[in-house]
Order: sequence, then structure tokens, then C-alpha cells
Amino acid sequence: MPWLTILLALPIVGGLVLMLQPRLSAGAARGIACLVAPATFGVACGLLFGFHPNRGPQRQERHDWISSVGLEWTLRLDGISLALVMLTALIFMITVCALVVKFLPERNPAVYLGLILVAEGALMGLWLAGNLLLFYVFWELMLVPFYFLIGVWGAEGRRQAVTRFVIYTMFGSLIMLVGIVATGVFAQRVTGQFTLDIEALRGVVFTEDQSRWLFAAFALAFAIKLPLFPFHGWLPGAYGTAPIAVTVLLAAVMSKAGAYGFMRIGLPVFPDGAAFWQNTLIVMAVVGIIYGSVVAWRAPTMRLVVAYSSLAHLGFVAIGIMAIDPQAAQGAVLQMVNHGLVVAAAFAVVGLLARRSGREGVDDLGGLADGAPWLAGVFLMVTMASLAIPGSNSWAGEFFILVGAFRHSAWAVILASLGTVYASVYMLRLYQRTMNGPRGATPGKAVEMGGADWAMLAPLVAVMGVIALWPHGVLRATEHSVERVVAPAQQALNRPASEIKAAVPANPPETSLPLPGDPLPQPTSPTPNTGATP
Amino acid sequence: MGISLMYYLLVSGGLFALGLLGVLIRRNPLLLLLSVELMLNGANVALIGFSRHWNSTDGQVFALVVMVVAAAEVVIGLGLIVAVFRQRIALDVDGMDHLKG
Amino acid sequence: MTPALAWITLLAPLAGMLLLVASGGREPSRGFTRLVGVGSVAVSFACALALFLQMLGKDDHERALVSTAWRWADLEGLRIDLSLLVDPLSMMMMLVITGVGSLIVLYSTEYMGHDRDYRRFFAEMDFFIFAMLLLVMAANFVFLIVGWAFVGLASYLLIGYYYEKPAAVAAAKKAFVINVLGDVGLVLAAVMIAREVGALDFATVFASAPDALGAGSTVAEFVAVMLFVGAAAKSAQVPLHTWLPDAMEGPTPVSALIHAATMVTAGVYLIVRCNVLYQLAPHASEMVAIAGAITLFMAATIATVQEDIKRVLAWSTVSQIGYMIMAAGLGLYTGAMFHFLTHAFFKALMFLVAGIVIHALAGEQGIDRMGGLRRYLPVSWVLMGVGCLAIAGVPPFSGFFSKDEILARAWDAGDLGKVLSIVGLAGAVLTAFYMFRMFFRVFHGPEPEGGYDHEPHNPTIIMTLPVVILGVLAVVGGWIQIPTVNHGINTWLDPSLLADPGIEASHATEWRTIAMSLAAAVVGIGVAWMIFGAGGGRRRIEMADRFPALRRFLLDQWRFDPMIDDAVVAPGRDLGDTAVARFEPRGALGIASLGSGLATGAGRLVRASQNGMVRVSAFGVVLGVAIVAVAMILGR
Repeated sequence: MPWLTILLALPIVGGLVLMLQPRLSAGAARGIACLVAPATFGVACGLLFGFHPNRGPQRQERHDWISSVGLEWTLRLDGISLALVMLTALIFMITVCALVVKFLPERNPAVYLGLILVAEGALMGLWLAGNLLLFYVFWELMLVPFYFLIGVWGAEGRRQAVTRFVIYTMFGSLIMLVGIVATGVFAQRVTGQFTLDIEALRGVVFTEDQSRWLFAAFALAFAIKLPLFPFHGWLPGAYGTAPIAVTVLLAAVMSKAGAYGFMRIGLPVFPDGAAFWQNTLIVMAVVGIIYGSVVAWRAPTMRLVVAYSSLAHLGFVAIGIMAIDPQAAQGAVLQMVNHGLVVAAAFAVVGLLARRSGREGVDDLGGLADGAPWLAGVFLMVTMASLAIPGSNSWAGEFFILVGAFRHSAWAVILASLGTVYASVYMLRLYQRTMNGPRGATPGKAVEMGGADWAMLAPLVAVMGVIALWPHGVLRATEHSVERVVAPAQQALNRPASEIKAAVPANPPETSLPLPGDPLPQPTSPTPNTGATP
Repeated sequence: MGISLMYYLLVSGGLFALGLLGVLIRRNPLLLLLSVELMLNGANVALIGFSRHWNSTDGQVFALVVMVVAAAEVVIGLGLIVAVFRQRIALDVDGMDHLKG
Repeated sequence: MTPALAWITLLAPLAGMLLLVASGGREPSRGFTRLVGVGSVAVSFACALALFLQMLGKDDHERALVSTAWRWADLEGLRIDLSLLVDPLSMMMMLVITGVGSLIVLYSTEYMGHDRDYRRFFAEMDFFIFAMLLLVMAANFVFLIVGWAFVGLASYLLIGYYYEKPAAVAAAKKAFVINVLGDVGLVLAAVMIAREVGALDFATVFASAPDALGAGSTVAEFVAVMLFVGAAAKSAQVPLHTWLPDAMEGPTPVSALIHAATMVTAGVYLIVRCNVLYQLAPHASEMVAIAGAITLFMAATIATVQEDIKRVLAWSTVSQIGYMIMAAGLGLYTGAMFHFLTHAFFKALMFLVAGIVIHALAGEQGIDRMGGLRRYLPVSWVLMGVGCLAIAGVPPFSGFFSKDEILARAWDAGDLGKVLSIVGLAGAVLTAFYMFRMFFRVFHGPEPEGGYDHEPHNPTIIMTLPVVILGVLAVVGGWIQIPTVNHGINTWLDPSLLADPGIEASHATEWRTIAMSLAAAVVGIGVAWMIFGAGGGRRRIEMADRFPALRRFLLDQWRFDPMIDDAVVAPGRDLGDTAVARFEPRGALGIASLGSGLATGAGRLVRASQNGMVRVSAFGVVLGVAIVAVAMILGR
């Protein structure tokens, strides 16, 4: 069975069914959505079985689609994809079944649910795509549902926010499209075959200039999506005005697309470019950590605090990737998962508070712990995980990133770790202003968690706990994939051989040798026969 | 031998120019649509003429495609006109400038 | 030794906490809460005791037990296990934590008796005990850091226990943030160790550190300094000490357990545990010793003007930890641990007595609203006297032996040691003075104007018993190591100290120091009696106005708070405010707005051509075609 195709087709088909039946009653729409999302999660869990951590990409599904432009339906699964697939399936299942279903908008609920499911499918496709153009197709496809979800169901100011979001993202992705075409053309000069298959491109050695510029073209798109400072202009608007469930999805899942792009395409395909831009990107990440932290500290609304904290946390992920070290990259993958869980929980709590009290401001509430001890307890755990207290799941990831990055970029680690101090300042501000202190206008009883809130938060907290106690589980699944991703860039940086844990593919790659009938590559100049003497 | 290519092209060019003139100077959308039809058929004549000249059926196939497209276009165009008419807006294309930048 | 016992010791308080949390749906009876809250700690203490007995039966070199639960992470060869280490050093800490902990938790059952969040208090106390045990029992740096942060969290929760009080909330946040700064120091040290040694478990690190780091190398100094950042934050050493006095906003048993007996001495434990690393870093060690000396002196001066009974004790704690840190920095690891032990007894004792006084006066903490309590609370009077004599260093009370050991051996630990030993002596004078200032003002002298609203009441046996036990320990605790007689602490800790420089005081130094520290105690107590005790404390008022500038300076606590605020807090806050008000609404730093400005300008130019008229567009098409056609014809 083509399980990977099923994994991404299931939500898309489900979503389309819902969207084509806009008059469906809210109850029926709920029923379908609550069937599709868990089913997708089930398929994702099924992928866990038979996954071989020690093999690279596996479960390949490959069909020609529009071969004249290099577009193939190629899906592959490796450890990194698996981690993100699980995260996506889990977050979407919880969000759809707990948050969305309970608080469905009155306008076109079926379309709303349908768009969310389509977004899930697009994200799944993104994690699994094994072809640059296919990657691009999903990259853009994911934008469409989010555009409508924010633009139609968002809060006040959504027009401007969503326009900004789309312009930022499109700006990056169009340059990425140019990069994709250029990659194919340049690669053809080396291998003699026009292919956009990522595995085939891994081994292609571009000239240094090509590699730099191509990496830059991709990196811009990824940096905007991540977002890295200073490309985060879309973030407060989009996170701030989207319906809370959509914000959860944006922050928890979609924001991983940028980081994933760096790992899937940036480092392995353009190692020289990654080596060239390494320090630039790390500086951007460090500035982002500190800048995001101080802004989160002073941000006026609860949502914005969490939104900017996201900027800071993803800075750590970016450092983990750009440190070009297997330990740091492992930490980065773990941290992607962690951040998804933590930020989803944080937005869920913030959304709950805002919905029940009708207020968004950090200073509007107070003393809620008095009537809502359970919420206070859960919020405390989320706060602690968010500020990465040692012993939490986020700390595990952060620690691994720091360990790996310290080897070659000690300065970045020292600066970035100051960000964790700020993290405690702004997260505690959020927690204490709402839960502690003198009582505000809203009584604690009014915000205590109900069944739907438990359904949303309890699984997240449980998974966070499991990862905190046993991060080895995630590490083991991703270890080999991460080594493969990092190895070429390590080689480009002339790192000692003892640090490079995976084989770097040959050039040109064996899988993309010229087919019969293809124009042959220029023969290399014959080696002068120095040995022969008259 | 039949009629030389030149005549086909003359007729085609004439039809096209008439249509173009119509598009440019008429303000009634119905007549605009008619004029567009004229232009399309002008192009069709040219296609068929070339088809004969080169002894290839490609041109005729294309002419058929153009007819289909033209039919579709008329349907949509008329639909739009009816929709506009229902809104009781004067049938004057110069009045329809909502897309002004 | 049985590994299971170690795990039960660690996990019993955690189980207690989880049980209390889980019973939150319907408020459980107070009896149940008491049973679980105290029982879990008691079980833990019993297991620790059993382990201790087992350990006594072993030879020196067999006294370390490492027990692994599971592999926490294997990060490209950096293997990190969830494992425990029980050796003489951690054993000593475990006994103090669970032993003193049990007593204080028992005491709290009555002290907190009227609180409506009874259950939460015990859940948080149990969590603290668990975290503290994790800190001292961890077998690698990772779980040391985890325990380190968890005690910070527990401390945060308990300082902010009265969460509706803004002062308590602010104090909790301050404590937490400064402790996170310490965590960052520890993490950086661990990261450096991981890079240089390639392992994080204590056994490997300490075995290979001399080769991997190198004595006196920059790397070794970096590690030692970063560890000290952690230690200073947790143990309230200059300049990261400002949170501890504010932490007195928490309930008194919390202050006794966390902010006197156990958690704040974690920094001492850390340095002693990492003695190998400090022996490799001479400059860092000197820095540690100097920081300790500065702290002990500064805190002692500040304690002389405090008007809140708990704040006097808090500053005295800062000062006493200064002694321990100073000793650890000089390489007197056993001395530091000895003082930790006796301090845990007498300081917990004094806090609990202070708690009795506060309880008796219905929450009053200011010492100028106290006086003459000797008549109402005779038992407390005796016990507080014992505590004050112990801390002042009067023989045969416990503090005498430990403080004397530090000062004597410091004298023989090089030039720096001599200077610091003198600072320590000066501190001893001040210690005796401020403790007896508090003692005389609370228990002697006249009653406050207008007398007491209610007659101060004596506590029941539940509250008295733990205090009495601590009182006994405060007397006899020092006898396990009497100069020239026995070396209980030295021999016990020997297996854990892999790099003890073995500084011993000569007999001459020993006796001289004994004489001098006795003199210091007598002078301090004498001056305190002259001013506050004799004649009903008349001279107190005169003294207060004698040096207004100095008094102001001391009341401002050497002006550390405003300095830190100006230097560290304000810049970040201002940057954040500016960013929120200026940068963010325009897109980050205007880069985006520059782009959008260009686009808007260009759009304005093109806009004129887009007037929406179909025929104009059509004409445009025709024009375009015409131009292309002309170009093609001309181009041919």
C-alpha cells in the first residue's frame, strides 16, 4: 500500500469533501473532521512500525507526473520527516477534535474544517516530498488554506495581517522557485540529466558560486517562513489575528517548514553555500533570540508574548541547524517537535483565557489561580516548558543544540543562552500577571478548564513529559537521518573526519547517471600521460 | 489550383480589422462581443488558408479549437452581460471601471 | 548497598507530591494531607538512614554506589544516563535534607494549620525535597542541572506561596530569574565539559579532567568560573545575592528548609563535588574564595541594621554561606561541608524559633514590635539562645567547631588564606553582634509600647518537638570533629574528595585561632549587651542616629538592587519598549516598510494606466502588437 500517499491524501480528500458541501450541518462536518484527523494520526502511527532508524530515506513512492519540467510524485520518509509527520498528525488531531469542534465558527463551519484538513495534507506532503518541485507545490499549497482561514475567520485587522503574511511568504517562495529552476539547470550541466529529485541532487557538486547563490535563494524563503530576524514582520499580525486554533497550527506546525527546508534542502544539496552563509544565519538567529525575548517581555497582549517567544525559540532551532554539527542538528530536530508541543499548549491556554474573559491584554487579568487551580497548574507546566527549565522537554533539545553548537560557535552559544534568562522573565510575566497577584475583573472560576480544554492540553503535556524523561526515543529515530543531512556541509567546512558520521555521496550520483539518448556531459580533459618517456 | 493564399489572407485581415475597429469604438458590450467573434473568425480564415497552403490538417484542427473557445467565450460573455443587466447597470463598458487602480 | 533504597529515597517525596496533586478534585481531609506530606519525607529519611548504615559497614573505597534507571540520551556518542550516585558526600547531604526536612515538614503541619491551601503547601514542600535529593544524588551534570533547576522552581513556588501578595510574587520572580542565570552558568560549564571531555557523568569527567582540561588552562578556568556562576546564584553570593532577603516573603518553614538549611547550600555542594575541577583552576578558586569573603562581610554588616526578624536571619544565612564558599574556594572542602552541617542545624533551629515567635504574635515580624518575650515563651528563649551561641561560635556549641576549623585552616592556606581568615574573624565579631542584637531585642528588654494585643501563646508539642531536636543537634552537631581530638568529617568525606589539597592547621595556629574567635564572640556579644540588653536598650536610640550615612547605606543593602536594575534590567526593558512601540508596527526595523514603500511608489506610477476602461486596455493591446510588428519589420 502506498501509505505515504494515503497519509497526505486522506486529509486533503476529507477537506475537499467538506469544502464542496458548504451547506453541511455543523454536526455532520464535525463528524467527518473528527473521523479524518484521527485516521490520519493512525496512519502516521502505522509508519512507526517498520521504520528502520539506521536506513536513510525509505518507503519511497515514485511516479512520473510532469516529467518535462522535472515534476515527479516522489515521497520519501526518513527520521526527520517521521518526527514532523508525527507532530503534525498529533497537533492536528488534537486541535481539530478538541479545540475546533468545540468552538466552531458560525460562518461556514464545514469550509473552515475543510480548509484545516487541506492544510494538514499540504504539510504532510511537504515533510514527505522527495522532489524539489513537489516540495514547492506543497509549500505553496499550504499557504492557500491559511490565507482563507485568517482572512475570513480572523479577528479585527486580519486583512492587513493576512496580506502581509502572503506577501512576505510569496516573496520568498518565488525566489525559491527561481532557485529550483536554476538548480535543475546547473545540475544538468554536471550530470547531463534534468532532475529535481532531492536525493539525486545531494551528490551534485555545484561550483562554489552556484552553491552560494542557490543556497541564498532557498535560505531567504526558509528564513521568512521560520521566521528569522529581521524577516518576522508577518508573524505578530498573523499569529495575533488568526482564530486561536489556526494560530496553534501556524505556530506549532507551519513554522517548522522553514527549519525543515534548511535540513532537507539547504544543508545536503548546497553544502558550500551553507558553509558560506553559516555565520550570517547564526548571527540572525542570535539577534532574533534576544530581540524576540525583549519584545515578548514588553508585548501588550498575551498572544503576542507567545508569538514573540516563538521567534526566540525558533532562533535556537536555527542555531542548531546552522551550527552544522550532528549533535546540534539532532537537538534542532528534537526542538522542532518540542516547540510544536509547547507553543500549541501555550496558545491553547492563552486562547482559553482570552475567550473566557473576553480580554487579550497581559495586564487585564489577575489572581486567577485562586479559582482555577488546575488551569494554574497546567499553565505553570507549560510556562516552565516554554522557558526551557532544565528537566523539561524543551531543555533537552536546547541543551543538545548548545552542546553541538559550542564545538565550533562558542560565542553564539554564550549569547544565545542569555536568551533563556530573558525567557524566564517574559514567561513569568505572562504567568504571574494572569494567575497571581490581586484579583482582576474576571473570577478564577470562570476560566477553570473544562472537558475540551483537558482534551487539548492533557495529551500535549503527556507527550512533553515522555520526551522530557526519554528524549532518546526521538534521538534514536532521527540520528542516522541527521548525520546524512549534516555530513556534506561538515565536509565543506573541512571539519575533522572524526566528527563526520555519514558517508558523503559520490559525484555524480550513481542514481542519476545519463540515460541512453541524453546528451553526454563534456568529457573532462584527458590526464596527460606523464609516465611515458621516449 | 484553387484560390491563392493571398486572398484568404486579405479576407482574414479585413475581418480582423473590422472586428478590431468594433472593439475599439463600440461601447455596448453585446456589440463588443460580436466584434471579438469577428476577430476570431478572421483568424480562423487565416488558419484554414494556411492549412490548405501547406497541405496540413493542423490549421483546421486549430480552427476547430478556436471555435470551441469562441463558443465558450460567448457563453461566459453573455452570462456576464445578463448578470450586469440584472443589476440594472447601463450596458456601457466605459461605465464598468471598477478595476480602476 | 541496595540501589532500590536510593531510588525510594529519591522518589518517595515525588510520589507524595503526585498523590497530593491527584487528590485535588475534592479537597482531601487535613489528616490525609498531613499523613502524605510528612509520611513521604519520613519514608525518604528512613531509607536514607538505612543506606547510611549500610555504607558504614563498607570499606572506604566501596562506599560509592551508581545505579542507572535508563539511558536518557545517546547524542552521537555523548551518553547520558538517568542514574544516581550515592557516596559519602551525597549521603551527608541526603541525611540533612531528609532529616531536617522531616522535622520542618512536621513543624509545618501546625504552623500552616490555618492556611486554606494546606494541600498545595505540602505538595510543594514534597516537590522541593524530591528536587533537592535529585540535585545531590545525580550521577552526572545533566541531572545535577535538572535538580538544580527544580529546586529553583520549588523555591519559586514556595516564595510565591501567598500568590495574592504582590511583594511575594515579585520576590518569587526575582529569585527565579536570578536562579535561571545560575542555571545558564551551569549549562555553559556542562557544555564546555562535554566538548573537552566527551562525557558528562561525574566518574568519567573527574577521572579524565586533569588530562582533558589541563591544570590552569583557560578551559579549566572557564568551567570553574561558570560553575561558580551557578553556585553564586543558588547560594546567594555577591553579586547574585539580592534575591535571598526578598525570599523571606515565603512562609517561615520554607525559609528554614530552603533558604537556610538546604537549597542555598547547594552551591557549596557543587564546588565540593567538583573539587577536581577547582583544583585545576587556581584563579577561579581564588575568585570563589574572595567572593565568599566579600559576601560574608557585607551580609554581616547589613544584618546589623535589619528590623525584620526573618531578614536578620536571611542576611545571616548569606553571611554564613559566605564562610562555606570561602572555605571551598581555599580548598578546605571538609571545612565547608562541616560548616554546612552545623549551619543546617542551628539556622533551621533559629528560623523555626522565629516562626514560633511570629506564630505567637499572629504574624508580626518586626523586631521593634517585640521585646520581653522571655516571660511568655521560655522554651523558645532557651532554644534561640542555643542557636545564637552556636552561630556566634561559643564552645561547646556546634558553630564554634566548624567556624574555627575554617578560620584556622584558612590561616595556613597561603597568603590569600591569611587575609581571608582575618576577614572571617571580623565577620565573626559582627555575627555575634547582630545575632545577639536580635536576641536581646526580641526576648529581653521592655515590651513594645501598648503591650501585646493578645497574650503570646506557646505552641503545641508538634511544633516544639522538631525545634527541640534541632536544638540538641545544634549543640552536639560539632562534636564529630573536634580539633586535635577526632576527624569525623574528614575521614567520612575522604572517598568523595578526589583532589583534596589536604591543608591542615598547625597546632599553634589552631590554638591561636580558638583564642581569637572566642574573643570575637565575646566582643560581639558584649557590645550587643551594652547597647541592646543592659538597661532596657536605652542606648539603642542614641546609636541609631550616630552614623546616619552609614546606616542609610546599610539599610539600602549596599545599593545592589538599584545598581543591578540600572545595569541589567533597564536596558533590556527599554529596548523592548522601543521595539514594541517603534520597530514592530512598521515591520522589523523598517526593512519591510522600505520594500513596501518602493512597491507602493511604483504602483502609483503604473496606476494611471489602469483606469478600468475595457476599450483603453484593448487599445493598449493593439498598440503593443503594432509596436512589436514594427520592431520585427525594422529589425529584419
